[in-house]
Amino acid sequence: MEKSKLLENSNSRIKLNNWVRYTPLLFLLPVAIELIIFRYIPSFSAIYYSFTDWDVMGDWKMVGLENYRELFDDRVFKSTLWNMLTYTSIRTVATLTMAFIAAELVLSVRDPVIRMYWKIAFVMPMVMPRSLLYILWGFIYEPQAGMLNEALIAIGLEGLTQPWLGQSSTALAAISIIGFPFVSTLAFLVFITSLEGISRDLIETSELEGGSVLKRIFVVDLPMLRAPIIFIALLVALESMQAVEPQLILTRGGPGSATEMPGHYLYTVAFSYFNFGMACAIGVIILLIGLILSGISTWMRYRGAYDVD
Amino acid sequence: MITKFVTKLILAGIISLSFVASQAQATKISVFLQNIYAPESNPASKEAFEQLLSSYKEANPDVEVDLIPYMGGSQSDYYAWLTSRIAAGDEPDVGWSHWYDRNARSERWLPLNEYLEGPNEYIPAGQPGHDRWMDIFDEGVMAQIRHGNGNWYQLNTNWVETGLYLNEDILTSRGLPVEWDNWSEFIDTCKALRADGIQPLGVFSSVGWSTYQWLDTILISAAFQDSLEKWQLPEYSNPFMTARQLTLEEISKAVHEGEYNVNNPRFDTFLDLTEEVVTHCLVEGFTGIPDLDTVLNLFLSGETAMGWLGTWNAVAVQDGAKFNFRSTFYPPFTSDNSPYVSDPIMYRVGGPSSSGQVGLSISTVERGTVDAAIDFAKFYTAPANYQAVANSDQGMLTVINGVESPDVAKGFISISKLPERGITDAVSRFGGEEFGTPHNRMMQSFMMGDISRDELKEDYQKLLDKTVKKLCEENAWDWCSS
Repeated sequence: MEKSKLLENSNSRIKLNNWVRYTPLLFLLPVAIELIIFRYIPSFSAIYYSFTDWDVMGDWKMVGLENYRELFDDRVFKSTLWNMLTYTSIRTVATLTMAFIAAELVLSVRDPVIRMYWKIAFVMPMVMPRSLLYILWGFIYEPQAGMLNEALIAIGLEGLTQPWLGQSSTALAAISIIGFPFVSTLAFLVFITSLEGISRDLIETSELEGGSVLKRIFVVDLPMLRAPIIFIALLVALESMQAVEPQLILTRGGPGSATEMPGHYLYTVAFSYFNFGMACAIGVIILLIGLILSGISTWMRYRGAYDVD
Repeated sequence: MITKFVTKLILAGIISLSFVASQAQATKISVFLQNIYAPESNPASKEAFEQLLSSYKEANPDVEVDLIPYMGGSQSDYYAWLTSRIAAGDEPDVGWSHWYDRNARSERWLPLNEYLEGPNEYIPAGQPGHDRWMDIFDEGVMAQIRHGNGNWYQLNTNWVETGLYLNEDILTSRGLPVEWDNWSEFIDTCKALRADGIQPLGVFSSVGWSTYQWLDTILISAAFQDSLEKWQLPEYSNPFMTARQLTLEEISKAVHEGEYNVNNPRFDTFLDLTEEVVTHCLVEGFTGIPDLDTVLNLFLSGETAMGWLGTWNAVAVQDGAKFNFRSTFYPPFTSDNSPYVSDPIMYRVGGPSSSGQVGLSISTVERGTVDAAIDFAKFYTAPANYQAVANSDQGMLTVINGVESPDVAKGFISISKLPERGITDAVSRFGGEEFGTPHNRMMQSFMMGDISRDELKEDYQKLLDKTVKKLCEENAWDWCSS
C-alpha cells in the first residue's frame, strides 16, 4: 500500500519535473522557429545562392566561385572593404573612448541625484530615431548653408569650409563621426553600470594607496571593465560593418565609392541590379568577417581573464 | 377610391420604369489623368474638374464619368496597378501612358487616327480643331508621340521640360550675356562668373538619379553625334520623328561592335567636355548636394547664377526669386566643341511627359464605351475647357493650340522644339541601374579627380562589356553571336 503511494508520489513528481523541465522549451519554440525560418534558413540559403547567377525572378544557374572572383576583381567592392575598416575603426575607438570618459565623469559626481540627472541627460537622446539623426547631420554637412560651414565662417575659419559629404577626402570621415560625441549610446549605459558595480573596497584601497584618479582608472576601472569593453567593441564593430543608413540617407555610397560599404553595396547589388547571386556572395563575406571578429573578441575576452582563472 | 389607387400605381410604375430605362441608357466611363487630377495635393485641380465635369454632364446627361484621383507613388507603381487592372479587364477607359512607351502600346491602346482626323464639335466653328480635331495639338509633339506604325495611341496635352533659370541681375551687372550662340560662349560666361567668385551653375550629382545625368546625356550625345544615326536599326525606325533616342538593342550593338567604346576618340571628347564643364561651370561641392530642392534653393538664394531645373519649378522660382530671372537653355555645340558635330546641335532634356498623356483602352471597343470616351476626350481637350485645367497645373507647358501656358512656363516653349537626345540617361541607357549606378560612380570619381582618365576607361570598358554580355544572354539578339 505504502509502496504504491510512494510510487504514485514519485510518478507525479517526475511528471511535475518533466513539466518544469519542458515548459520553458515550449515557450522557446516559437522563437526557435522564427530564428530558423528568418535567420538560419536565409543565411544558409545565401551561402548556396552565392554560387549561383540568380535575379530572383527566374531560375538560377550554378556559377561556382564566379561571383566571388568578380567581387574581388571589382574596384568598388575592394574599396568597400577598406572603407568598412576605416569606418568601423573610427566608430569603435571613438564610441568606446567617449562613452568611457562620459561614464567616468558622471560617476565622479558625488551627489546621486545630480548624477541621475546626468545619466538621464546622456541617455535621453537614445530614443531619437536613427534616421532622424542622419537627416540632422545632413543639414550640418550641407555644403552651402550647412551648420558646420556656417559655424566655421562665424569664427573666421572660412578657409576650412568644405563640401563635407561631396568630396572623397572628407566624406568617409564625415559619416564616421555622425553621432559625435557618442555618449548617448548603449556603451555609456553598460560602462556606467559596470563602473557602479565595482567594489567600493577596491576603489578605496586604490585611494588609500595614494593613487591618482587616472591611476585608478588604468589600474582598477579598465581591467575590471575588460569584458564589457570587448562586448561593446564587438557590438559597435558589427553594427558599423553592416552600416546602411548613412549611405541610404546621405551619400548613396558616393561620391564615387568614397563612402560605399559592404552592407549598402549588398543592398544596391540586390535591389538595384537584381543580381541576388552576387549580393549573397557579399553577404557571405560580411558574415565571415563578422565571425572572425567575434572569434577574436571571444578569444580576447577569455585570454588570461581574471574572472576565468 | 380604387380608381385613384390604380392611377397612383400606374404613375409609380411609369416613373420607376423611366428611371430604370434612363439608368440602362447611361454609359459609364472611367478616366485616369495621372497627377493632372490630384484633388488631395492640388485643390485647384479639384475645382477645375468639378466645373468641367458639371459642364460635361449638362451637355451629356447620358454619360457618367468616373474620374479616378491621382494615387501617388512612382511610375512603376502606376504600371503595376494598370497591368493588374488590364488583367482583370477593369482598366480605365481613358488612361495615362508614358510617351516612352510609344513603340510598345499598340496592343493595349486604341489607334486614334480616325478620330483625330474627324471633327471636334466642342470647338466653335471656324476655330482650329473644329473640322479636324488633330489641329489643336502641337505638330511637333504629335510627331514625337507617333508610333512607328503611323498610329497615334495617345493625346498629349502638356509637356515637361528642363531648362536653365538665370539670375539676370548677377549676369547683367557683370556685363555678361543671358543668351549664347554656342557652347563655347556659355563656358566663357561660366569662367567669368567663377573668376568673380560666383558659383555659375547649380547641378547636383549622386550615385543614383541626379541632374548631372541630364548633363551627361547631352555631352555624350554631342560627342558621338555623327555616329548616332549610323547605329540606328531599321526595325526601330520611326519616319515621323526627325531625331530619336537609341534603343537598348541599338546602343548594345554599338558596344558589341566596338563603336561605343572607350578607345573611340569620341569618348575622349565626351570626357573633355565633362572636364570643361566641371572645371568652369558646376557649383563647388556638386557631388555633395543631396537633391534638386537644394539646387533650387541655391538659385533662389543667389548662391548660383544659374540653376538647371524644370518647368515644375517654375512656380517656386516665380514666388521665391527676389531678383530678375529668366528661363533659357544651353546653346548648341559646334565642331569647335566636338569634332563629331557637323551642324550646330543642342538636345533638349524633357519631353511630352508627366501628366498630360492619355490614351483609350482597346477594351473600350468591346465594352461599347469607345464613343463616350472619345466624346469626353474631345470635350476635355477643347481649348475653352482645357484652359481651366492648364491654369490649375502650373508646372507644365500646355501643348494644345489656343490654350495659354502658364506665364512662368512660357520660357520653355522654345526648348521643347529642340531635338531629342540621341543617347538617353545612364540609368536607362542599358535598361537598368546595373549600368547606371556604376556609370555615375565612375564619372563622379573622375570628375573629382579621384581616378585618372585611364583608370576610368579601363573600368568603364569592363562595365560596357559586362552589361552587353548580360543583355545578349537575356535577349539573344541575332548579332550577339557574331
